[in-house]
Amino acid sequence: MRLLVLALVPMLAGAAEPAGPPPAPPAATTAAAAPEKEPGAEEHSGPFSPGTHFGLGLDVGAPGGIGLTVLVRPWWWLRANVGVAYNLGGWGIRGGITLLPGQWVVTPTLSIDAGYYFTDDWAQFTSTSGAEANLLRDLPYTFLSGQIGLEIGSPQRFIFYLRGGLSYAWVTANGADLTGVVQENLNDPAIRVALANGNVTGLVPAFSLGFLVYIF
Amino acid sequence: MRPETKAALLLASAALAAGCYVKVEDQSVAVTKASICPGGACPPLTSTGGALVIQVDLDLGGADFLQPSTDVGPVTLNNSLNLNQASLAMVTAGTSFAGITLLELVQVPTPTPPGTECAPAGSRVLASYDKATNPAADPRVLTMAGSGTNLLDLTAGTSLIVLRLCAQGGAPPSTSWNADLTLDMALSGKATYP
Repeated sequence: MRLLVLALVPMLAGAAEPAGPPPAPPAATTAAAAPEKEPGAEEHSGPFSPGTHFGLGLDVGAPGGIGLTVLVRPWWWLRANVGVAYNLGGWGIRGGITLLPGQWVVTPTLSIDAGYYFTDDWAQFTSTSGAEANLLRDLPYTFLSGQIGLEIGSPQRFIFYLRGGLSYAWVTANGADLTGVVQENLNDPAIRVALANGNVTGLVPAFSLGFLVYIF
Repeated sequence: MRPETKAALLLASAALAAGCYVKVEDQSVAVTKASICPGGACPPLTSTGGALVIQVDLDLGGADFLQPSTDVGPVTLNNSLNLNQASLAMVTAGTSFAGITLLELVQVPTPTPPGTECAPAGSRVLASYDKATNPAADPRVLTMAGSGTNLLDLTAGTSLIVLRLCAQGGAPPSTSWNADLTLDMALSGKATYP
């Protein structure tokens, strides 16, 4: 609890401070007002300064699904990730960046992620059959998310995080499958239909929670 | 205030203020009524000119996304099906629409008013062809430019739209004929929440 208070006080009070890495606590008298500095987080302005820079992450959320990613942190304030994703309907790829204002036990973050699911078989979760099932078996989608969050843990080793924001997602529906759905629901045998590929887009809530481990 | 904090607050404010939405679009939905005259016997036009009215009942069926509104999980999509153009394609061999000078596709209200008047009260012109301003490159296919009408506004709670093709001009077609009527439309649906 004390750690949490120590971390939150500078975050709230530091609104007027200039951007950049947080200063190391100079003295015991100022410890209560300064961020708790992680051992190993050296002052260094260049890339790949001393400390850990590579790791693994695992998270779950929407619309990103479950993700297993590899991480690289060239600077203390920037972390990039890329990996595979799974959402029960299919597999995809994901990547993104996270910006950090400091290296504290509790750190706010700003993340931008993008991903693509090669195929999504949602028919297995429904009781539909025929043309509708064919449509639901092939719905690849792409998303781009912006999220703010909080990270809790050791910035050099293990971090748990929770994020929320918005995601723009788009799905392409196969025209032949759409045609099949309409054709199957027609009442007049003298009518024929032909639909081009359809697009479903949305601005939807996004969230994710997960953890990451820096290995070296 | 730190730039990162400003950015985070801006994003949070945007998330709260932004209206989330889901949108569905399909730029080409072609619905074809094959052989608009049952039995292959649309009446001919006389060589001296005249008018011809043919009624076509178009049933769009029960597909969810061709209804005025569709429930998708917790949200309701409000759909529209706007007519881009309509085309009449001759299927009878040896004749064409070369003699037709004006052709209109008209929606008539239901129940259909008695008589064979092309556009009774309450009807609406959905698409039109004028040989003088835009002659057909192929006289066997007449393309009528659409007015962009949302056809789902015309179904009155059913899936049926009653249409009339109103032609003016002369022969050909001078013999019994038949044709396919194709409506090329754009589908869109949108739901906003919360």
